[in-house]
Amino acid sequence: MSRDGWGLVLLAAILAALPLVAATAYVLTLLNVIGLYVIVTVGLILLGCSGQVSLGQAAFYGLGAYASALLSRDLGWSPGLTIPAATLLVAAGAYLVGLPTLRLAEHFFVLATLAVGIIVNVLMVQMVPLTGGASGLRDIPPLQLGGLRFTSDLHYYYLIWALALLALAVARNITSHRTGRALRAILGSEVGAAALGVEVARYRMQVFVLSAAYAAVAGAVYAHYIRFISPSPFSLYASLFFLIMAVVGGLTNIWGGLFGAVAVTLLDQVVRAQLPRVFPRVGGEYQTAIYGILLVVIMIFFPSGIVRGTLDLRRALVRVPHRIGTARARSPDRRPGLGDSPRPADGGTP
Amino acid sequence: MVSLLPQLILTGLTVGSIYALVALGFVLIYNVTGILNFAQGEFSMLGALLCATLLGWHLSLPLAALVAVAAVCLIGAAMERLTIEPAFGSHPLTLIIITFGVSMAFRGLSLMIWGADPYTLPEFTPGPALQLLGGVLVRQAMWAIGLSIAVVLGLFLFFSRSVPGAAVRACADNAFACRLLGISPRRMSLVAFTLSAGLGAVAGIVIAPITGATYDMGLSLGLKGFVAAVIGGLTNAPAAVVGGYLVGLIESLTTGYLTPGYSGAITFLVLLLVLVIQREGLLHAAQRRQA
Amino acid sequence: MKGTVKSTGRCEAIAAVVAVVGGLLLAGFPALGQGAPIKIGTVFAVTGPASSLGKPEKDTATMLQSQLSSAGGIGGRPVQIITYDSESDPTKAVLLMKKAVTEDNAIAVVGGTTSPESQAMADYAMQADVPFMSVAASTTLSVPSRAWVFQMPQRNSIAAAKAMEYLVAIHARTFAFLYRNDDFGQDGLVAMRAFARQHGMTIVDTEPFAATDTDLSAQVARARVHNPDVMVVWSTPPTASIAAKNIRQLGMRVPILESHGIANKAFIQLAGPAAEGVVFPAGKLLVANQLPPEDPQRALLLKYARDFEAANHYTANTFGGHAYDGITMLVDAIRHVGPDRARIREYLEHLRGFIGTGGIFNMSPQDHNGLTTRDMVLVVIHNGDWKIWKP
Repeated sequence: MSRDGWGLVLLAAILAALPLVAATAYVLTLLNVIGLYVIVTVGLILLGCSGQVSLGQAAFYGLGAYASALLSRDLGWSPGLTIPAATLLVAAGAYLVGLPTLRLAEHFFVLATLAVGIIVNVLMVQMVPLTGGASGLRDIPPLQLGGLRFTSDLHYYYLIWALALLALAVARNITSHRTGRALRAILGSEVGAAALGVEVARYRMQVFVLSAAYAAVAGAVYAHYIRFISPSPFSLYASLFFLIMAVVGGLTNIWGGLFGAVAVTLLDQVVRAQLPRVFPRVGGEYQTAIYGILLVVIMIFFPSGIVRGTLDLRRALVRVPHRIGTARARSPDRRPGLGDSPRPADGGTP
Repeated sequence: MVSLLPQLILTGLTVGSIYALVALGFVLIYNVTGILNFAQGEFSMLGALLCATLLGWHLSLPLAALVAVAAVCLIGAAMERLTIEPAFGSHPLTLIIITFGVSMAFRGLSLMIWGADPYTLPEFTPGPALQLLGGVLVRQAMWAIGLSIAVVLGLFLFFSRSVPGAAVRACADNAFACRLLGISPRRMSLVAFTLSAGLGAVAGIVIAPITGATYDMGLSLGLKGFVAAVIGGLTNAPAAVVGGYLVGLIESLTTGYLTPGYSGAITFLVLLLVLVIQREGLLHAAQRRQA
Repeated sequence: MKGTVKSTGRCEAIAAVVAVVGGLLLAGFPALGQGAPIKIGTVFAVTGPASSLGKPEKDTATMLQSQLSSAGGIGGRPVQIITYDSESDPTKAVLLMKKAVTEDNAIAVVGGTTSPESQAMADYAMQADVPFMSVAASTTLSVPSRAWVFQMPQRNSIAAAKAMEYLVAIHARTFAFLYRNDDFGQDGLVAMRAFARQHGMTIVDTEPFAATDTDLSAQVARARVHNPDVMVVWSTPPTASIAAKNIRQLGMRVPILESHGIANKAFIQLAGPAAEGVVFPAGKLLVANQLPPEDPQRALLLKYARDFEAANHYTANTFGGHAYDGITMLVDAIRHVGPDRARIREYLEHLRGFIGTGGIFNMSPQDHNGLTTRDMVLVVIHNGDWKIWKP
């Protein structure tokens, strides 16, 4: 635990110093958005640690945002209260959603989350008197804790990244202790885990609710930060976006959540900034195609995330040159990316 | 006098026949490979847009449609070889995510090639709409309904009466035994994808004269066709077709009698209910296959 | 195994930091030593659902950039028009506007293709004291008037008033209102309801639909039951075209009145024969060559259409025109009062008689749109082309 602990401290130090170097509002906004995405993605990865994938994470993100916005704007509660309240509400909702769906087989669970995500998004657009429909909600009050009013990007920077560090620490804690062992057992073999006395259903539910809570907190903070929300950032596309971030970092790797969120968001910005120079007549149209191809390439060649995949590749190249490209040598019931526990450390197979 | 219900039913059957075709594509691939292909809807989109482009190059409609379907079949085969085959043996979730990635890639590439504007295809047999049972049915809709029934019959004959069809079915039942017999599951996978791509393309070309063709039409088509396939149990072709018509009718009736915007939510609510209540689909129990 | 996981976790974290620094550099931060050029930021929905509006807007900006460059800029100082793609997403639109204002030091921003985007950008403009020229038509963008926000298109209430003139001219007593269930359609509904009440007409049925719907026969069938004199559709293609097709397919022969959202060729292409006879209010760009020679806008409109088509190889439409108005108005302001935000705002607020593609703008502190129904015409589609409608 100490290695991770030092890692977190180092990260915290870098983050604290960063605004001194990068001070423009735009960069801070970008870092803030990344921070929020880190929280959502880590939630998704926590879920991945139990062998489940959700295509509805953006729905919980959005529900957290709308809940906190409505409670504070229409009922007049302080955002300091509505953010935790919204998180609890969404967590309760996740519990209700999880009850019938978590017992489904994995690929059906994905589809159930897909359906939930779409239904929630439709409701956001249709329930105009409540949510403002497609035009969204404006005039969301800013966060105020005690005497401190959060109005500038810098304020939110510290808040968001403090929350992100907390999220990483909690997730790391969970996955390295008893719950983590239980999750790894479930990941390896559900039947085996049950035989060992692990309460599969209970752990699955806990992780699902927690991952939804992560997304909800991020969404609630987002609402008070941008002070305007509309259904579009919470669509199926957004859920796919979060999935890509989780996949880039490695679906079961907590620290991967940090890397994935950073890498994908910045890739987005880089593509925007550089592509028009290479192809002057095109706007952002290349993006969807690039993300799709990225997703495919990563899932085929780097299923445990880009960083680990690259390290393994290097290791494999160094040690056993003739095993390059042995994708087919993998045995049929290997599960790269989602069943990492049984895999030996040398990256090859018999 | 004008009545609402017959009109809604006719509309529901029209779109339902398209969902049925898409659902068939899902079922075919799932049956043979166990993969849920979320790029299925994009095959329809590609078929429609390719056909529109070929028409723009002054090919006749039958020729353009034929070439478009063939081209999409090739694309389906390429997809299988490039993205599914290398990941053979991966966790099913990995494969699902891959197909999502492929669908995004197709959508993005379409946007780059064809832009965001909608394209049209002419009706196969232009003419006034038919008055039927108190409602109005566009001629193209007859093609849609007719084609979906014809395709189901064709597939049925293929699978039950032809040798390659039997091989595909055998592979779906027991891949290991097939390998023993010298039938390669990988090749069957290729066949399944190619065939499904063709099915999707046909669906797209048939519906485009009614709804237009845009780069993003594939996503909602794919999702609704998928709901239809699940209702049918994901392994049962005729049930998937019935599922398709069901989804079309549900959509049409909820649009007509409830607030229109919610029809999308209701379709997916149906999916959720089907998933939860009967994990193998409502109609599957009636045709349980022997192991 | 625990050790393996932890050490690659650290690697991930290090990689993340490297990615941040590298990415920020590549993403164009910070733009050092730019100095002289005057920068105008633009944020349009070049991709996403509103791309058929946003792309011509961006292409207009690009065209104006080259025109300004060859003219030597403003008063000898080069002008740089920076274009960003909001992807029809209000959140991205605001972030990009922030980038333009704080990173690129743009003097003002033109954009907000859709009304939700414009609303979010307008809020930011008020916070940051930056002149914002919105290209969206929502009535609430200029009613009530806000200090830093200016609206280029004829706002929805004006378009509705013009549409109403058609209903009055053909002596309609009842109509059904089919609308896209978002800001655009809902805005139209509110306006038409008010005008209907004013003129003693009855809306017999209202039917919302989604922008992504591919079939509207259910809505049309429901409206048909009430036997309206006119079918009014308030949306943009493709749903606007699908509605027209469905209306004719279901055998309704009543006139179809649509909104200014169909002011592009895509509507006619998609609707096919159903487009014949459809009437809609529009800016004068579509029928520029049918305007009488003494119309003050005629020369400008023809020139814009010609230049646009030459530069971009497709027909100009009114949406690109709004971008044109926003940028040229800013250039005019900068020419008169220099690149100072507060002075530009002051100048714009009192601008009178400015000839643009949307009309002749007469701004005032209470009216930051500056247009009236006289700046629109009723257009009828005939034989696949646009003609000025005459009663």
